[in-house]
Parts: sequence; C-alpha cells; structure tokens
Amino acid sequence: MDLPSSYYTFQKSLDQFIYFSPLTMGGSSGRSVKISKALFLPFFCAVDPSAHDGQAIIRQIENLRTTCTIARGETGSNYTNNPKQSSQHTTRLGKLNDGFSQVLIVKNLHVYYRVSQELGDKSPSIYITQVRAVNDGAGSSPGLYEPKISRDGAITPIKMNQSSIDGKKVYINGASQSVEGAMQQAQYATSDKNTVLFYSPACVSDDLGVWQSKTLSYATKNTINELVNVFKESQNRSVSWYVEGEGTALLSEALKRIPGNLNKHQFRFVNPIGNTSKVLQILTTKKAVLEGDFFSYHHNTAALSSLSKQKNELMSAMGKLPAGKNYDKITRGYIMKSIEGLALVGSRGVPKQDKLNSANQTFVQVLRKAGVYR
Amino acid sequence: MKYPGNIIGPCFETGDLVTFIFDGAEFTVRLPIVPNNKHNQDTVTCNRDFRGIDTRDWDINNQERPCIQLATQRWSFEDANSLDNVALCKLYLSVVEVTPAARKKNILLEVKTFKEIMLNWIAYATEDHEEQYLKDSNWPASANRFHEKVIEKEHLNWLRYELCYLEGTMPRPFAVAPINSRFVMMTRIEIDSLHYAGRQNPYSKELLRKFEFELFDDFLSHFDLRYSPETIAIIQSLKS
Repeated sequence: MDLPSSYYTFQKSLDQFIYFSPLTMGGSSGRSVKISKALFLPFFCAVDPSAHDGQAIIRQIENLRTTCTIARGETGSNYTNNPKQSSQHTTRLGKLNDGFSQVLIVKNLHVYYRVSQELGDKSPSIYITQVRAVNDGAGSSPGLYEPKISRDGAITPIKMNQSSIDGKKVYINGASQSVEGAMQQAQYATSDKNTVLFYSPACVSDDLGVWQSKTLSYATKNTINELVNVFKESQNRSVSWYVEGEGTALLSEALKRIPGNLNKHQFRFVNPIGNTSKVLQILTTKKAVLEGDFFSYHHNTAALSSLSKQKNELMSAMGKLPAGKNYDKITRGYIMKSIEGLALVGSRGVPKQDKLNSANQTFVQVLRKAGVYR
Repeated sequence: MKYPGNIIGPCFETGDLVTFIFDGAEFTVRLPIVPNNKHNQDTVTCNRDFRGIDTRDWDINNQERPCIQLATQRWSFEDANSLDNVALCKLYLSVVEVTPAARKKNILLEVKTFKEIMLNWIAYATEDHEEQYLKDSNWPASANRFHEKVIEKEHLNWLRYELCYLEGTMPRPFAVAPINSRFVMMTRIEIDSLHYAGRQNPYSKELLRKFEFELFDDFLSHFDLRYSPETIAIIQSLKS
C-alpha cells in the first residue's frame, strides 16, 4: 500500500483523498475531513460501523472538523519544477514533515492526519493519511488452557501442562480480548466442549495480523516461543489443531522454528488471516495431515480480504498438497471452489475503493454499503 | 449506582427485566443492555419456565449436578474522557439442582442446612487455594467461611462469598440464593483491567476490584425473588 508518508508523496496523492462522511464536507459544519482511498481495506477490517465501538470511532473522526490547528505553509507547495524538490531534499523534508503529522487515538484505532490547505480547499482541511489498529486485551498470559467446569456450571479456562494434549483438539485463537472469549470461540469452532485452547493475546494480532508490524513486541516473541515449545513437546503425539484468524500468522512464525516432521498433527483453518498459502506449503513439507474439511470461513472481513489478496498463491499451494484419498478428493474440490467464491466476494467488497469519488459518495457511506460483505 | 471516576457503560438501573418461573417461586433480575461489539456476549436462556422441568439434558457442574446458565454477559466499560475500553466485565447467572435426597429433606429452604451445604460445595472446588490461606490468614478459605456475608431477606437470607477461581488472581464476589427445594441460584461478576499497547489504563487494579464488589452488590439489589404461599409455609415450618 503506497501511503503518503511525506509531504511530497502526500501532494502527489491528493487525488486519492475523498471526504470522510457527509458531515465532514466542509462549509458551515466545520473543516472538511478527507481520507485516503487506500485506507479503505484496513479501515474496513478494523471498524464496523454497525457496532458501538465503530460508531464511537466514526464520531471522533468526524469531530476532527473542529480542529483548530493552523495550517503550515509547506515548502514547495503549489510549485512545479521547484529546484528544492530534488530526491535528496524531498527525503529530508519528508522526514521533517512526518514529525508534523498528528494522531487521534480512539478505541482500537490510531488515526494519523495532517492539517493542510491544498489546491481546491477553501480553508485548511484535515487529511487522514494512515490508520493503525491496536487491540485491547485483559493481559492474560499466552499458552495452553483447558476448560474446567466450575460450581455454577460455567466454563473456566485453566492453564495446563503441555504434555497432556495427546489425542486432543487444540485451538489457536485469532484476535481476542480475553481467555474466556477465546475459549468460547474454541468451543464454537470445534463443536467440542473439551477443546484445549492455545491462547494468543491481543498484542499478537497487532503484530502479526493484517497490519503486520516490522518489529515484534516482547509479548509476541514470547507467544511464538510458547507455541514452538508446545510443538516440540508434542511432536510425536497425535494432535488435531484448529487455527482461527490471526492464529494462522502465529502458526506460520512458529513453524519456521520447528525442526522435523509433524506427521501426527492434523490442521484445520477457520477464517485464516495471514499468509495461508505459505503455511500450507510448510505443512506439506512437514508431512502434516490436511484431510477432510480443513478450511472453513464464517463471516470475517479481515479473513475475506486476506483470502482475496492471495487467492492464486493459495490455490497453487492447495494443488501441491499430497493426493487426497476417497472423500478427501471431493472435499478438496469443494474447498477450492469455496476459496474461489470467497475471493470473488472479497474482491467485490474491497475494490469499491477504486470507484470512491467525493462527487458521489463519502468513505463512510461506502463502508456501510460494503457491510453486506462482513 | 454511580460508577467511579469517568467510567461509563451498561448499568442495571436501566437494564431489561427478565423473569424466570420456578415451582413455588418467581425470580426477576435486571440484565444490562449490552452494546453490540465484537468481543461482547449477551446470552439469556430461551427457557423462562422451569416448573416441573426435566434436567436430564442440562449441563453438569463440577459436582455432577445438573445446572443451566440463565444468563452470561460480557462487555467493556469505557473511560468517558478517552473512550478507551478500560475494564472487561463478565456476568454469570445460573441455577443448580440439588440431589433428590437433599430435595426431599428441603435442605435449601432451611437456614442452617443451606449455609452448610453451600460452604461444602464451595470448599469442594477450592482446595487448591488453601495453601494461599496458610500464607495469608485474610485470604478467603474454609477456615474463615470464604468471607461469608449474609444478605438479609424477608423469608430466606442469601449468602455472598469471596472466591478465587484461578491461581494468581484475586478473590471475586459470588452469591447464592435458594430458589425452592430443588434449585439454588448462583451468580458472580468478574472485572478485569483492559490494556492497549502503549497506553496506560487510568484506573488502578485496586479501584477496579472495589468497583467489582460494588457493581456486584448493585446487581444483587435488583434481584426480586418471590415465594408462593406454599413455599413460605414450608420455610416457616422448617424455622420452627
């Protein structure tokens, strides 16, 4: 994604900015607020306009129209063939200008913006140039948890011993605020109340999810190590893995560090987010079991966009899997058809951004319409 | 109830009234309206009438007694200034069936036996935490009856305890109330501090723990448990 990180690139991409919502089109309602069309996909994944948190984020961004920051006169602005726009100069200037970007932090979203008056603006406007999601979590430690029925019948996740997962279903969660929430997802995804959970904290989704941080936090490294240890301890045991959402990216990181084969381990993916094709390739080389209905999807925006981005690679990786037996051949055919269908749906929902135009619709209006693909 | 600091979120005063009917009793609670959010949960059992109910297909608790979750809710409290989610709240409300023998003896409807059977049930699953009590005599354990607090009611008192579910965590509020000779209601609320990477939660763990207990008492204050004249007659006869 080519986002305007410096003033030079920002100016070059001005045609990519559209009004954020009908309330932020300038005039008597305050400053106009514009957002880069390239941010449609990350925004679509992080903000659900039908949810309470999504509404709070949209209202706060709309409130940026009351920002009273004075626009700076940018060097080189409105000039063509400016001698000061040599690549060396613009790089240095870009670094300097980055420091002037401002950030609005609301809920799970960091919204980076600058106040600038550009060609066609009647007054200084807000330009949203980048967004980043940061998940919230209750701070539970990563690792294996088993469900324990308490005195009132509710299921309480209890930290467990690594060696006791032989013959069990183990679920790796995606983005989850709490262990209880992840345990509930585990039981739903596997239809089994005894499923063991490998809990991956919310910060792992920040680092490895659709936003993919370049540097991994200590907590993420710790979670990867925990998962590697679980694999090493249970390498010769029979384990059935269910991997959901960002858990796929976590598994991908862990697999890089596991020597030898995983021929006693079976894998199933639910709404995978991350480089699924790469994971399938590694699992194939490690002789892991990918049988039956090993891929499923249930209304997950981020997974849908992730799939549509890597459809061809995924189909190619599926083609390289060892030949299936009996019903596996039929099931695999269905899986490939469903991936193709999902990628098509995803690609329909996603590139609406190309048709985004301030003249007809605002960013939020298209976001709401794209909600049917959630 | 006024929430501490700038905490905002669902409240019981404006919650939905939900009534469950049992043989000889009617139990009404106020369940808060949980906002639609990705991590939230708002589950209330479809069945509201438990008169003469067959419990063979119910879940079982840790003592293999049939039980059902009447409501399970999970939501986040926010800070009004930053709109950050600052605390995760989990609410559990369930009923558990006693053994046929205990039902026959009406032990839930007799003050003394109710207290003893509840203490035994709680102690059954908390043996692991007795070690903590040896280090700290203030830690809730069988020896101090898990900080039992009697909630005075017209016919039968309810009991509130402090229980620890996981090692390394602080005790949480837990309450029981006798519904009839067959079922006992159990409820608890848990509040956990929420954090975003790079942001500090303005509310300390101590403040949130205090809030947890206050919120639980507020939740209990909205309970309405009414016995039929027949049940009241049994309770009175057992008192004498």
